[in-house]
Amino acid sequence: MRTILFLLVFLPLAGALFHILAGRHVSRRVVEIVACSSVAGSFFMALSALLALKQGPLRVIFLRWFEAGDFHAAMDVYYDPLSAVMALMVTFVSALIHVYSVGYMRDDEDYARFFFYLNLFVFCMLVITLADDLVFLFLGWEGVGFCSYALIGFWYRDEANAAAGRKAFLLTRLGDVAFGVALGLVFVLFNRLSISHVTTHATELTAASATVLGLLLLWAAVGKSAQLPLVVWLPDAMAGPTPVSALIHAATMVTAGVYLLMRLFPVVLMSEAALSAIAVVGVLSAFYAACAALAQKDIKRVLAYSTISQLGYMFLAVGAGDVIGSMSFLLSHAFYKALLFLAAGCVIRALHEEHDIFRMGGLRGRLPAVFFLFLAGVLSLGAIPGTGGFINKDRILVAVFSHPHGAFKILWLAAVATSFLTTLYAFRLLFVVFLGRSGQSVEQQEIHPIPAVMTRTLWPLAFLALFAGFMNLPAVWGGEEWLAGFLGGVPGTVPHLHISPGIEWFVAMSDGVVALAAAALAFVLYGPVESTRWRAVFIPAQTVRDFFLSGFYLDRLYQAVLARPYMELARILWLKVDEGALDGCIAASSRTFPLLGSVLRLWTTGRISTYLLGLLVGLTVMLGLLVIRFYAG
Amino acid sequence: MMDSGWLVILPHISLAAGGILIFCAGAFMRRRASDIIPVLAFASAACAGVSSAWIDPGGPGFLGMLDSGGFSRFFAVIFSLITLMTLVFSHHYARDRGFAGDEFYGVLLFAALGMILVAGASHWLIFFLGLELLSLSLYVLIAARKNDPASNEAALKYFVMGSVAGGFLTFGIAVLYAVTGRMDISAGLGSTMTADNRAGLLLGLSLVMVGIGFKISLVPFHLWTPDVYQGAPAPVTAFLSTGSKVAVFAALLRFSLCSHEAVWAYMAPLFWGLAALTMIVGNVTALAQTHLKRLLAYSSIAQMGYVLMALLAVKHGGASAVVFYLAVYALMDLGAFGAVAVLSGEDRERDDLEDYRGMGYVHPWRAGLLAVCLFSLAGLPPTAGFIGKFVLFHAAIQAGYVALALVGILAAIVSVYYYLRVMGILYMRTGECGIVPRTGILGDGAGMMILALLLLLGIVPSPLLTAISNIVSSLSH
Repeated sequence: MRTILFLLVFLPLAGALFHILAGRHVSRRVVEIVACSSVAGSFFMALSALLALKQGPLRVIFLRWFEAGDFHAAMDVYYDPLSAVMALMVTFVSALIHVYSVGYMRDDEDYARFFFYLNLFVFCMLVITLADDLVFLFLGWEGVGFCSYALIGFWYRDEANAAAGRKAFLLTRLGDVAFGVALGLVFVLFNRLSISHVTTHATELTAASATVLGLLLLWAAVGKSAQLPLVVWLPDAMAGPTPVSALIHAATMVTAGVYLLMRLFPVVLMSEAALSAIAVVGVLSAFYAACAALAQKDIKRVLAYSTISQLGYMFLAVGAGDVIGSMSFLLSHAFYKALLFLAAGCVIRALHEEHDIFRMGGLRGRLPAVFFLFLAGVLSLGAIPGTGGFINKDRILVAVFSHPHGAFKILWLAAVATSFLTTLYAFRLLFVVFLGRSGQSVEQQEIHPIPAVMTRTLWPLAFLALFAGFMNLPAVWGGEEWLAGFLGGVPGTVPHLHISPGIEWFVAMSDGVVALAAAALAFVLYGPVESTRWRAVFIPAQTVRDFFLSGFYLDRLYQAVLARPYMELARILWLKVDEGALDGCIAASSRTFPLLGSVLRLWTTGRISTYLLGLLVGLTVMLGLLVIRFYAG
Repeated sequence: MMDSGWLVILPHISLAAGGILIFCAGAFMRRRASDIIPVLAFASAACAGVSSAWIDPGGPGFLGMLDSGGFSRFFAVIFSLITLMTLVFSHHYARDRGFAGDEFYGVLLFAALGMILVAGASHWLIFFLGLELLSLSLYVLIAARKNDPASNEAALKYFVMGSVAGGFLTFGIAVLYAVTGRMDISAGLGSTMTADNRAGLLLGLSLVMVGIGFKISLVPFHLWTPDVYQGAPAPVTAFLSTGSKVAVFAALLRFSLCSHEAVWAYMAPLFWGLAALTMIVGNVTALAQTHLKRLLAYSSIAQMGYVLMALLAVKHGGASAVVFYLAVYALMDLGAFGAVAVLSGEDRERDDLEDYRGMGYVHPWRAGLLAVCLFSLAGLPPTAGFIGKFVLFHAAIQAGYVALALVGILAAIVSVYYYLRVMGILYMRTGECGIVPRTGILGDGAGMMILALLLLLGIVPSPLLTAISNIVSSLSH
């Protein structure tokens, strides 16, 4: 088991090291094989570890890292059902995306650098998933941030891409600061930094410290998972290559924030306030991003806002106390969102890097394979009854609806409204891209052939997107809730919600009806049949559309309220304080010390007599001091 | 019992036999000597390292003269590694400059034997013999370039100073024997202090400290260091600055651990003053240097000051910090002087700082070795030097020497300036620095190994630290 877990974590790192050391000296094929097989190997390790996990959670120490006083840091893993499922998902999706990337990056010369970052990313993500020591986890946490930065700006020759990378890095750093503070607080409160220790001793926390810790963790998660108010980096992060968007900015890294909350759920559970804050942040982000997604024109930006929105549901579930609902939704989302991104990548590649959905259209006949894959993703994202997306979202809505606190009914209403918007934008995307009247520019263009490897790797994802929900089919519909049962041992989870069937039916029906209604509306508005009358009724004015398109002008707001004053302050500190005052002091001291040095240098005359004198003087002074102490003491 | 006794001196025998064989080869096999001799030297040093690393002789030691515990074995491994690295660095260097004869290699092995004896001695006589063997060999090694006046001058200076310091040391040992009546080191230093022997003990120890202070170049006994380091061939400087200092410091650590509390209470303030003076003078004087070898010489003086600071904490569990830092220091200085050796042209030593202008672009790997070693000497993460400094200052502060630690930290801050100045010359400016001929796969390999070890220990120090604290705890009981 120890070996399996070791390989699970470190195989991708070995791949990354190979690329950076030897990647430029071997052929492209070798790099591709190493990249894919290291992640695939990791996936098989995750699978066998999952099958071997019998006797409850397991803590394995690979390496004691450093120690100072009470402070210990180790490279270790805490392998429990939650991390087992997460690791399996991460390695599975990563392996598929690595294979897909082989096709996608076929014409790029910088393949070694690309696969280096990609493999390194998988390693860091697995560290986040499995680490027991919070310092080790933090290493992975920063590592994924770095890889995300490097991959967003992968085509760094274009200034805009580099700027997007920088923006993502800086904004997620804001969250990381809170994580750093949380680490310090955990050490003060528990005197240890081990997740297994913290979760088992969480009940010893006072309400106040649990609230502070919970809010710090929330802030850290908000940064990583792009929730309000730190959302603005994710849409811009779409500047990276599409497989990167699928892997990092949809399936794995952005879920790290909410995963952290699940991993440390017993701590959060101690504080009502933190839980409510998590739920509220989740709902607001979900609603905000769904609105923004409705107005986007760039295919990838629609999906990016959709990711923010769906992550909001996961936060909501954690806030409602249902970790299993959140985790199931996370898995389901990983499958269909990765699928949608990769299918979008096929479309973009086929249309010569075209991103604007209104210049696409009518692609159903020309890209049939991609159409059916995209359809599978949209059905699941739109939560059409029967799909994985529906079943897992339903569990979240049930948990929120049945929450004892009355205010959660309002959150439920907001979540259902968001659900309506979600289905609407999902089908809008499908209709506009694949069914709509074909755009002018596309008509004349040749379809760029797509490598078969790019579409074939998507079949497993499409299957899972549609049917993975059956692992968690509620008992009301004759399911066994297998996944919930498996995750039941994780501290703080509620495997079965024990709700009366009436409520369960009511929630499911309302959600299903809402989804179908939204799909119908999308058909009327964006479907193949021209319907000017309905469009005039439902589509809002240009100003509102612009407001949505810009993501509520949050970027401009931050620019005006935060970035500009900060820059101004920085300029003053730089010119007045640093260059004016501090540099003067440093310059003065930097003149003094070398002067002193050149005086002392004269002591080394090069003559032996001086040196011998030094010996004698030293001895005399030493003896003199000893004599003084001898008679004094 | 006899068997385990012989196992104790297996590394010593291997080095001595290697040295004698090399001299024989030089005398009787003149034609093929240049091929055989380096191989012989390498093999016997490797043999010494392997036998001290893997063979645990157990038992009480050898005839009450040599310690056989983990402490001596650990240092024996370090000296074997230093010798191996020096052999690798000097292989091309010595051949190109025409001093790769039997005397160079043979004497190098005898010097290594001297180091192992000094660090492992549990008897004053062995300590003295080891030190004299080491010193005599070093005089020869420093003067290896017979036709170079700088080399000869350095050897002469080291010889005169060494003889005087050796005289003090011998006199000190004699006084200690006179008052305690014991030649056994731990028994002698551990004997309780009475009104009768107090004056004698302190006098003896002060005299011994002059000898030791000279060897590890504490201020004010340090003045010879820059001259000798500059004059000696670069691989010999690497050997001299690491091996000889680490050996004598290991002995000093043993004396401190053995010494009686009352004796220690008298000596500690002296060490305090020496440490503070060494850190300040070493670092500040280094600021004004324009030659790389002199700069590194002052840097190595300052480094010993840091270690001496942590030695004060030896009664409060600071010994493992000292041992760890000594190991790291050996790597760093070996790497730095080794880089000077592999970067030097055929005709002359590359010494003036200006000669290194833009070297980072012409020879990225060799200059990278120098850069990482300088980074580590400056104590910047993620190198081993950072962890080493961290444990040193941690030990000193734990033991209550906050003021001294503060002095050390300020001195270390000043030191960053001259280390980074060299980095700036290596990388920030471009200039005509000329291309250096290849130095063979071995030299580059050794450089890579040092580089990798420095980074590895900087990132994962825990295994070595744990091993060292086990070794040290076995010594103090």
